[in-house]
Parts: sequence; structure tokens; C-alpha cells
Amino acid sequence: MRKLIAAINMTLDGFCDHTAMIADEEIHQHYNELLSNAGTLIYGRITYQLMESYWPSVVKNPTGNKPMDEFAVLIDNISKIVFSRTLKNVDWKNTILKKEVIKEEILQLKQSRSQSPVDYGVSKNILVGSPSLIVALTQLDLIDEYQLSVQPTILGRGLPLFKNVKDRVNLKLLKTKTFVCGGVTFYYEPTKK
Amino acid sequence: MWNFITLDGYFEGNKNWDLDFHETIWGQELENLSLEQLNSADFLVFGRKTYEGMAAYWKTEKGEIAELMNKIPKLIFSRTLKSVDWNNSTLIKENASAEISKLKTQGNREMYVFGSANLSETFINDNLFDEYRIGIAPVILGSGRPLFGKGISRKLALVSTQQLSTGGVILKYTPGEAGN
Repeated sequence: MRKLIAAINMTLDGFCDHTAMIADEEIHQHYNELLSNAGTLIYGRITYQLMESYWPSVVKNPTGNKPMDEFAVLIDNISKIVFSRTLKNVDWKNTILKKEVIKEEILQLKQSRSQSPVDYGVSKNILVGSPSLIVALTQLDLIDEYQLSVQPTILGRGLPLFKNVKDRVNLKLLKTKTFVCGGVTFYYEPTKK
Repeated sequence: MWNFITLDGYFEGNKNWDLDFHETIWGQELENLSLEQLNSADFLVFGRKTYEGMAAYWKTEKGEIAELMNKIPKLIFSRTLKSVDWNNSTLIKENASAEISKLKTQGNREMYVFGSANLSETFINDNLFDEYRIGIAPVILGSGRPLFGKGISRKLALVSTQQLSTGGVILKYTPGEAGN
């Protein structure tokens, strides 16, 4: 089965404002590997629009920064699903629009295999990188792994990543990965209920 | 600074001393670390609320940690308390930061601030912490009281990470360069 992985940056105090995050070469390299091993990316509207407004232009006009340009190509090519009730259509390549998260559909997606001729039949991971969707999928018990990259920053206020979590969630630590810039990625899986 | 927080940044639930999540990371390793820290401390520093809870708990506890907690000199910063009766405690009513700055120049052992979110905010503003030692519990609480009411304008510098077998992770940071 494909793993559904929630991968996102946050501050030490749990905020996910993207403006507070560092993205040096090592971090880009890390996300490039993650994207290379993924078959599908899932976004909510806001994160989708943020990404769509930037990365296709980097594909057209590369920056010269190798990990960043590679990231642009990877994210451009990967199959993307956007969940939004307000968007009318999506223009970014390999993107489909869905109105709402349906548990059965996500479970089906997890069972599916790659249809691409390059890696036909392979079960590649599904990544979710939008705060609101991470919470929604958590409440539905659909996330198989969390990769929370904790930046060495304390914001005090901002967009709380876990704002809409209603009941306490206990996770199981798998491992940590430390970056030169001071970020630490925590790998967790949900605890069995 | 020495504190435990959840992944959503809370140091306690919605009530005073709602610290159930500590159970998820407590164990032999943390006990050893606590002892090591207490043995290196010449002062423990508390605000009023943390003092009241700590004093009520430790006065009657037994064991190595309790002995140290009761024995080590403690500084309590509060404008409202009239007196403190926990063994070896001193009440200080004014100028918390000036007092700490002065003590930092004396002696070469460590001072620890546990809990005490309000007092910590003052020390953060005056850039008095030399190290932030934060234990992250593998828990999303959903709601509670944030450890950091305000941000820290400088980016921190990561010193080390220590993974505990219970699933907690101890992160140590020093304050980074100003303006970063």
C-alpha cells in the first residue's frame, strides 16, 4: 500500500507560516528526495496557489540554484490533487481538482499503483503538505507518517499548524534528522488505536 | 530554560498543572538527565505559579530528585507573594532581570528556569537565557497554554538533539545572532 505522508515545516512553537522558514540547499535536497519517491502530492487551495504561483515560472526560467531548479521540475511533473470548494479550475500541469476529502477515495488512492511508463506498477508515496488538509486527514486517521521539520525559530504568533485538532493525538517517534541550518525533521507514525 | 512542550507548542493543557502529556516522555533517561541538571545547578528560578505548584508537590516527595529539588537554593520572582516557605527559597519582588544578570556574573554553575512562562517572557525580552533546552513530546494536544507567548526575534542556533527511547526529543539551542 502507498503511504500517505504529511510533510511540512513548522517553528519550534508549532506555527507553519511559510515566510518564517529557511530553505537552504540541504533542505531543498531533502525535499527533492521526498518528491522523487512520491507519486502524488495533495494540496489545499492556499498552499496550491502559493506553489502554483512560483514553481512553474522557475521551470521556465531556472534560477541557477541546482537543488531549487530540480525541485521545480519535480513538483511540476508530479501528479497533484487540489481540494477546494471555491476553485473553479486548475491550470498547473498534472493537476486535478476535487471538491471535498472523501475517506473512501483516499483509501482507494492508497491502494493504487503508478500508471506512468517510467515506473509502472510501483506503489509510490502520497505527500500532503497543507496545514488544513494534514489536520483533516489526521482526524480521519488516514495519515501513515508525519515528517515535521522543526525550524530553529520561535514565532509566538502566526498560523498554528494544528489549529483545528480537537482531541489529543499521540504519535510514535521513528527517528530524527538534523540539518546544518539548525532544522530537525521529526519522523512519526500514528499510534494504533 | 528547561521545559517540555507538545508539538503544538503547549507546556500545559487548559488548566494549571494539566501535564498529562509528560507521561509520554518520562522514563529512566529523563530521570538521569534531571539528576544531572540538578547536580549542576546552583539556583532554580521560578515565577509564582510554578513555584506554588512545585513547592506543594516536592515538599512531601521522597527520592533523589525530591531531595535535590528541596535542597537547592531557589529564587522566586513575584510581586504578589508575601512570603515563601519552601526550603531554601528566596522571594524577590522587583527587577527580575537585573537580579539574574548580577547572578550570572557570580559563580560558574548553572541556573535553571522551569515552567514559569510569564517570567521566561521577561528573560527572553532581556536576552538572558544562554540556552534553551526543550523536550518535545510526541503529542498534539489540540489546545492548551503556549510556552512562548511572544516570539524570539533572533533565530536560534541548534546545539544538539537527543532522542529518548520513550519518543521524546531533547533539543538544545543557544540564542543566535541578533536580527537573524
